[in-house]
Amino acid sequence: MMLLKALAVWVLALALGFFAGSGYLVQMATATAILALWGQSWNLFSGLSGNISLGHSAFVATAVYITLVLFVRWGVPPLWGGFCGVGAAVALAALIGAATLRLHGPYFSLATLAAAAVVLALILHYPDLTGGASGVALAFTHNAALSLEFTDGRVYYAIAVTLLFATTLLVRWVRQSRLGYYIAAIKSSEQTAAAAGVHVARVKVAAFCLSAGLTAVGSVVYVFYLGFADPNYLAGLTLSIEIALVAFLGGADFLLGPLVGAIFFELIDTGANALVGASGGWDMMVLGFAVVAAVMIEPRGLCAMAVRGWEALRCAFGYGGKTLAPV
Amino acid sequence: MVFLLQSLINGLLIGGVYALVAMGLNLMFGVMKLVNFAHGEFLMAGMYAAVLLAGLGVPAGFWGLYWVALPGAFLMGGLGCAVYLLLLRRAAAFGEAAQILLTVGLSLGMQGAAQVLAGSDFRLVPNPINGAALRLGGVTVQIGPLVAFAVALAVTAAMAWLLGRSWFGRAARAVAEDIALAQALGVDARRVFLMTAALAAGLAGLAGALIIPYHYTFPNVGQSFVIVAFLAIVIAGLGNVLGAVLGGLLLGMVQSVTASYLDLDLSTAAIYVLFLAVLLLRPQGLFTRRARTV
Repeated sequence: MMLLKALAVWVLALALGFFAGSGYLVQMATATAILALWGQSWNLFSGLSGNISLGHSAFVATAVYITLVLFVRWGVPPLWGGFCGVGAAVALAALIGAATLRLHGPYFSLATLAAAAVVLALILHYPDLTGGASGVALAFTHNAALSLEFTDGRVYYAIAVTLLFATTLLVRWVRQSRLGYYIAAIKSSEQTAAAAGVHVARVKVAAFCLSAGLTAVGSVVYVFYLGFADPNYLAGLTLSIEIALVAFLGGADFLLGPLVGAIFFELIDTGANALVGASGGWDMMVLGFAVVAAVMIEPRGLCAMAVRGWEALRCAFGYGGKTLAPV
Repeated sequence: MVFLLQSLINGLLIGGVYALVAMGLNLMFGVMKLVNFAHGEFLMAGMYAAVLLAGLGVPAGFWGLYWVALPGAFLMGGLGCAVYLLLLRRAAAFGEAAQILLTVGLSLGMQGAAQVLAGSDFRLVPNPINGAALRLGGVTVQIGPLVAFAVALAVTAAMAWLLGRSWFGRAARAVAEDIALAQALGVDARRVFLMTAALAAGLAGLAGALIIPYHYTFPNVGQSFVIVAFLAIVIAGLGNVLGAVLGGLLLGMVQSVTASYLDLDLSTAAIYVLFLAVLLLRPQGLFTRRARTV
């Protein structure tokens, strides 16, 4: 039933995009879908296990640059290069995950942040291979599915929305699977989980790799949609923070949290840009203080805020009791 | 040899600024168990306060700029109090993830606000300290960084006294060790938290004031300092306030030497690699004896 509903929403989202033409709205929707996809992937590990990664941009940049270098230098079609890129991101996640396993709390966050910074430094240090700080530009002249080149923006929208739906369904499945329960057990107490027979190390690395792999898939599509790779953004701290922000702002405990967070993020961003112009820092200021306000009102995110509002409404009309206590 | 000495000295001097930022960060972590991602923005705001005051007029004389820069540090102490009272006091109950989100949001908001209010130009107040240098043998020692370093050492000594001998230090250590027990024994934890927030923000503001003569002011200037400070406190040991000074100095020197001998990009990578190595091999920190679970 759930699957049927999801399918209906997916078809609806595709149809809406198709009839909206390939203008600004579709571009915004594509960016939102990619951001939501990243948030969803992030949430799969960090949201569910409580280990906050601030280095997911490392996986974005690794996947993008492996794909692009294979494509630009050796002419490997991005569709195949993309698999290599995703594989490389997963391998990197296995490495980082295995190395940072025993770190908790801020130690883990800072270690992932450091790993992303090393990736950025390496990209910048080998400009012959990666194009250095000026990035890589892709010029599209024709449609070629193998090269992920499409002149119509709606194709990217369709791909992004499809990936987002697939990822969301996957996350839903994981949450109800054995792996999901292991992760939940690890979140509440690692010692207890280990004592109950959970292979803490294996589960954490597996979840981290899965999260990195999904992030990487979205990244490859994103860079071909954008047609440009800017290393300081793709491997930067800002993107890592954006990814974590989107998932948390929406509500890490909710399946649709990252989607809600991404929509909120893009709305504030474009709203501020439309009202006061792209430059001048207004978007950053409004976004930052909006996040502060949202956390102060409901630290469990916008979805929790909506649930509480809904419950309050129900109570006001004499139905049911509270399900979500205030913090 | 002279070249190596020169880059070591440059690194040591900039390390003093890292030390000031790292001390505040570690004090806040130790006492409040809070990783403050907005810490660098207090340095930035302190610098803008100084630039603003300097716009009104700079006292004459070689050291004139410091007189308008230093009030910024006290302003930042006040701002730290305000942030504690408005946000952090309630956020203590939110859990670690929400606290990270909160301080990250605050950091973005403050950077954006600086850009809205002051523009994204790089600003430097013209002053005689910038470029002035002592020559000792073949080695050049810039006056601005030297003053910052000397003040950082003096502040470290003052902090050692404050944490080791004063009422505040005893209360802060008690709260850091076991807040429930400290409160049962009559320590007012909220007062300790308030003073910690003020002191930490004030130290970041002071770091900003000290680099005013020779460092550009721009909206995300805090980031470049606070990220090194983060690494410094982990290398030293989280919560170890005086160790953070050694961590800051060490990272300053590593950064400077790798930048001189290898490459500027790799100097960033070098301190991160050092950080990861310490994290994996000695997670309690280089300068912390007690083993702890991280």
